[in-house]
Amino acid sequence: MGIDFRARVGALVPPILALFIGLSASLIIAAVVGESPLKVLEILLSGALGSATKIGYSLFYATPLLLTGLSVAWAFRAGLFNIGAEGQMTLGGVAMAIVGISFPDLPWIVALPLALFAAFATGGTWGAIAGWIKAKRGCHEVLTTILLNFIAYGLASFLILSVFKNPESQVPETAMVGAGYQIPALSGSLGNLIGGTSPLNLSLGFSLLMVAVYGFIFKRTRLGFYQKIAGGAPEVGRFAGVRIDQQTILAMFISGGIAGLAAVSPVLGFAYKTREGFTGNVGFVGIAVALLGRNSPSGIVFAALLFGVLTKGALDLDLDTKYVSRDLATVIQAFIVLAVASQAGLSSLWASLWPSSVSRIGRTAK
Amino acid sequence: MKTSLAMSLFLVGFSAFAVMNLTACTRSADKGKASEVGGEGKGVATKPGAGIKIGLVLDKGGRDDKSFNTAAFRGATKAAQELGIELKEVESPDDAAFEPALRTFAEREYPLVFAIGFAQIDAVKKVAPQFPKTHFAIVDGIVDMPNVKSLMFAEHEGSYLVGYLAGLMTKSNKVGFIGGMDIALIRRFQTGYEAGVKAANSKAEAIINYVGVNSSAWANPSRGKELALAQYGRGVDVIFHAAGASGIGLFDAAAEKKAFAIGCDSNQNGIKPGRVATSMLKRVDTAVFEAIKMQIEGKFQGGVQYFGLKDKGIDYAIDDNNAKLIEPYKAKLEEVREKIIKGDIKVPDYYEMNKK
Repeated sequence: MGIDFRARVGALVPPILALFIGLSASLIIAAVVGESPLKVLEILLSGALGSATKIGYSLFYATPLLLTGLSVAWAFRAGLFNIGAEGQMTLGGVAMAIVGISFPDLPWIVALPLALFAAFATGGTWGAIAGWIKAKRGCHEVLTTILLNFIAYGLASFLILSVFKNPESQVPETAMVGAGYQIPALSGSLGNLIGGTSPLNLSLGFSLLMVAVYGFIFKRTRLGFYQKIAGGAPEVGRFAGVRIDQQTILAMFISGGIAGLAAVSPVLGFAYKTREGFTGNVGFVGIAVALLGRNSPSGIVFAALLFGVLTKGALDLDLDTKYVSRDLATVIQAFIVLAVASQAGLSSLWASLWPSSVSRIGRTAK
Repeated sequence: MKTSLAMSLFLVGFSAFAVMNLTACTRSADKGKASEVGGEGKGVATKPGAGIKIGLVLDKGGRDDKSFNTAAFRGATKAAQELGIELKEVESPDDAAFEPALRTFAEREYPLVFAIGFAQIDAVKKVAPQFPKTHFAIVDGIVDMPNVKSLMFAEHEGSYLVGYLAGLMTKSNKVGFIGGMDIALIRRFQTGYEAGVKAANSKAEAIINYVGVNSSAWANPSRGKELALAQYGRGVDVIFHAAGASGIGLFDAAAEKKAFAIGCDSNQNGIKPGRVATSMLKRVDTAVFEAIKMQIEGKFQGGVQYFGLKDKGIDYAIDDNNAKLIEPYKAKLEEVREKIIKGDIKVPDYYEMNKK
């Protein structure tokens, strides 16, 4: 029990250290260009957490990150690097809109599962293409998923602008989805207690549920076990009769499907239609979420919330500072990712400060 | 092993991304200085707008697009310098950022908040009812609420006028039009232009091209140039663009082919002096400035305000760069302008044509 506890604490050290390093480095930059670091930090925090509405916005920004982070993490577990979450999410959103426009009159109990299924299947198929090419032709998924992103953008653009376009608007967007598909904002419920007047909606709950399901699958099920074998010890798996190529395709299908689901909050919970470019790089930030969260369910939740807070807090930097803008949030994220990626170095740094923890960090870092 | 290779690839990419953002950060350093203008004026008590805070939420093109957003920012900056208001502007990276930006201004009790561009219609519709005491002004979109002023421009009138000029100028009886994104707003430019061309020269034919169908069409100068070269190649000798930053390519093509171009939104006569016949002006700057003035004087009201040739909200540019070039046609153009203002000439309006 005691050892387990200490191992857990040890596992927390690298990400927290990474956060600390990332934040300090960025604040130093802010200081160099002439802004008080303390003021920047205060703006970030009060901008993100200063009121119920602000917290609501932070959670709203964190919602799709939970799912794109999860998508990338699933692929990581299976030994794959999915950089295509952005494109998979785009197509997931388009699928939601197509279903929502084609069958507008369904009641929500049918409509929502149908839209979610369509998004999962579409994003999944897109991911599975890369998985198939990897399994059958050996072409690296980093290449194929990136390239498939561009095809996804083009396909989405065609469908949004030429087939399902909103005739009443000049914005490149689809028509509205039916009423049954629209997830209302939590604002108004419970006297604006939760999320204030922000567009925070129940897709947050759905996303958290998906994270829990992910944790369960990798801890308790055969599917999770095979996926881990494919990622961690493919030779052993092959020897034991596991079809690694099938596992690869399956992993990319599920990873892409989860990325497709990430469109639920921006599309069904906010705009009620799919706009071109609605993803706003959430698919790429998901990579950072998975890295910082080290593919663990609690880590992903922590990282997604952190990046949601950063996104919201940084919006106020535009207003309240002279020399830095909201781009600082991306700088902080980048530094955090760099720090995480150099975790071997961090671990030894930590070990020199606290020698007794060294073996545990080494073990949990694997 | 493979994963670690992928990882290092990713790291290289991400570091590059970070460096890009660092430069973005330093770029915003001079942004801060620009926004300070109002603050300096605060000390001078004589300025009527001293201490009044004005918020400006720009469209995705950003403050430096050299046409639409730049015009809005220019108007607000002028108000900061002349009237002494305190200006804060925000650029939106994506559609989801409009709403929180507008809301933040309203929460901080900015009396007047501008939403620049039709992309913000939905966001204004959501935020404005929640802050009935805050005034909002939206450019290029109509939001029917008591605290929202909609600033609309008669783009077709100005397009008719420059179309008329193109019709007079052409020797080959072929003129061109290059639109940015293929949407109703730009079709409005196009139909006005075509009508003007026909009115001036019934034999003239207009060749129409669009850069694209999505928002990237506003920022593709090389495609703009390619389309312009193709049109000049077909015998066209005057081209009018309504293509945002993509239109910059037109001026290069005009200089290369020794043909003529007509600018749009802002005064672009100086981009290639002697090659730009004139520029159709859409005075977003004037509209923004006037709205701020009304706010200061307590005369701000909701509703739709139209700008056209009559009030010079729509105009065409004459300066040292094109004075000689336009001289032979000026009298005729002024006559047409008067006729449009009086209603003797009815310019076809794409919006009206497509109302059901």
